[in-house]
Amino acid sequence: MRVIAKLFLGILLMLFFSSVGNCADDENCLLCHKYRTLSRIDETGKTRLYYVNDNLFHSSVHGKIKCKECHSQITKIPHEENTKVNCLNECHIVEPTSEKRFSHKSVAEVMKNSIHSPDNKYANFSKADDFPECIDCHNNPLFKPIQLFKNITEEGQSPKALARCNLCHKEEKFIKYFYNHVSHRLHTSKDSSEIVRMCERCHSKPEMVKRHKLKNAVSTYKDTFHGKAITFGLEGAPDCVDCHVRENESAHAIKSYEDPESSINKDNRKKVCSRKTCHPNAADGIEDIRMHVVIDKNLYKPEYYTALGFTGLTLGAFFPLIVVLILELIREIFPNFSLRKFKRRK
Amino acid sequence: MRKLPLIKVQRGKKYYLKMTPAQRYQHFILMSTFILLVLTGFPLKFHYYPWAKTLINSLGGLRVTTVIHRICGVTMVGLFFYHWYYLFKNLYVYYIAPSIRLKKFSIKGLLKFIYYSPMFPRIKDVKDVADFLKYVFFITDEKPKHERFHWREKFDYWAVFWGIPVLGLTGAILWFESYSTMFFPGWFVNISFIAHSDEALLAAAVILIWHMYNAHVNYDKFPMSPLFLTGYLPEEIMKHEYYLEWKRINCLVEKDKSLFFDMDEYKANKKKEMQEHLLHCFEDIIDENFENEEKKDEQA
Repeated sequence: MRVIAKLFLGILLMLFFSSVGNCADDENCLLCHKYRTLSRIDETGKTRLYYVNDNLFHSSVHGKIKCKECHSQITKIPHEENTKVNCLNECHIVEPTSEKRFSHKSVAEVMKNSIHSPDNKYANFSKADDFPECIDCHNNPLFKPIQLFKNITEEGQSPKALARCNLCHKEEKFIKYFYNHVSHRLHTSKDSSEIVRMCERCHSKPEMVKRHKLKNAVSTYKDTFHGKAITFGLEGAPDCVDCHVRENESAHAIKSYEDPESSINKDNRKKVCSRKTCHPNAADGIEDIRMHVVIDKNLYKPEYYTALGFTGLTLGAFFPLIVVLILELIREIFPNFSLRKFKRRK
Repeated sequence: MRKLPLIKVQRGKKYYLKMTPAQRYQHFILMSTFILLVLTGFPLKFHYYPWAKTLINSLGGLRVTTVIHRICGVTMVGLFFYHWYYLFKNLYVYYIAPSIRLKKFSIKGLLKFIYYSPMFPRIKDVKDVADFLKYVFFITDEKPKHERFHWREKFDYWAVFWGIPVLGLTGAILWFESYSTMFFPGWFVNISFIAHSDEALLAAAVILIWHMYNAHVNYDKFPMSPLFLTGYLPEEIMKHEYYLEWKRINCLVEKDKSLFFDMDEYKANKKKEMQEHLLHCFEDIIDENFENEEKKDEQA
């Protein structure tokens, strides 16, 4: 018995040390999480996948951080329920300018002043559950099923960009880590259609739209030329963030249109429209063009009556024509049947 | 312009002139710009369907289709202005100039001329519609007798006549959105957006179903009426649908035989002439050969 126990311990130790070589996984989480089918179905019937793609993880932004730095509630195996990530944890990285341990708290500060915080005075509904957390927008693709990795277009590294770094920097892991942490922020990491899809995840949920007294902003946006340009793949067309964020500000600072500091407040709107890359020759009235038109009698009267008028015209002109067409066809089926002819025969 | 015969006989069948070349060219420009405008515009209106993206991509992407759409839009509006010129030119050539020459010009006469011009709606059309309703509701078995253009064609014409200014104006506002806000309030751009796409939908529906049915897919024209290509309509359709026009043209041709052109006879004559000509040439060649041989014989 003792021999078997020793043997088992030996195998365990071997397994443990075999993976120590991989520096970020010294907690050995991948011992289990490397299995692609590691998953369960939760109470709501959703499949939760716990697989971590080692390669992808180590070349991600968080590749150098230990799992437990973020999943701090995990203390034992099997894990307790609710081991959600807390992005505001101070992680072990040292922020080079201040030499303090780094955390995302400053982002949280900015978020707190934005409309995406339940504490904002312009919010129409302030239940914390409805407001986005970090991972609602920054969806890390690492935990997605394997078939989704085949064509990742949302995030990740460009091998072309990395090739330039390779020229001088020799340590490949460092290059990937540094590139992810710094360089990828130099260009937008999400393209326009991905941003629209991201906002859509919350802003087109009917019950949420109702609770927050908002109209479906994404579908109305998609009906504008801006939205259509993005649908048909025109790069450079404005997405949600382009208008709703003040110039040179973070997207975390989106404000309510009622807030005088907001980019889309009535006084600031013209500035947004007449940016150099958008409508530089814009006249004063451009800010009055409505971007989120819903056909609603109380909100947008001229639009409502125009749409009503044209619907009436279309139905009133087109349907009589179709009726005429059908009547004529019916008449042609019975060419010899008519009242006046009957009379004549009598 | 070359004067076209009112009746043309081809392979033993009579064809009646209904559209002059100028009208045919105008129809052709209108038709091709309309088709391209629908192809490049409708994917934008129905952007949420998968075919929209396929169509835009097959036409070269959004950057190309917007340019096509604008070129066609400008061409169509240009055609609209040309048509106004065409109408006034005809008014001048056929009423104002002759009446001044004969010193009979009057405003009343001018209005009467306009009233009786082919596309102008008149009381006869109301009667035709009433007769048509009597016919389709099995009250009579007599079809209304139409003139040069019947009420369905006039409906198409006037729909386009009001549709182009609406689409052109709203299109221009959407095209020059920055400048249009100088003259109009912001909501005007929004209603232009709604009006442009809704009017386009109405126009496309009317043209693709109503006009296509009446002009081409109709039981006696299927699969296609040759009118928009040749300008001539075969006698059976002419008699069937435009009885009064058919009678009028027959009357005119009886008075003036130069308006009648028999293609078969012309072809037969041509053939005969050709044959005679060839025969002459042949005879000449034979004669020449004969002379040559005679010469050779003499030398020998």
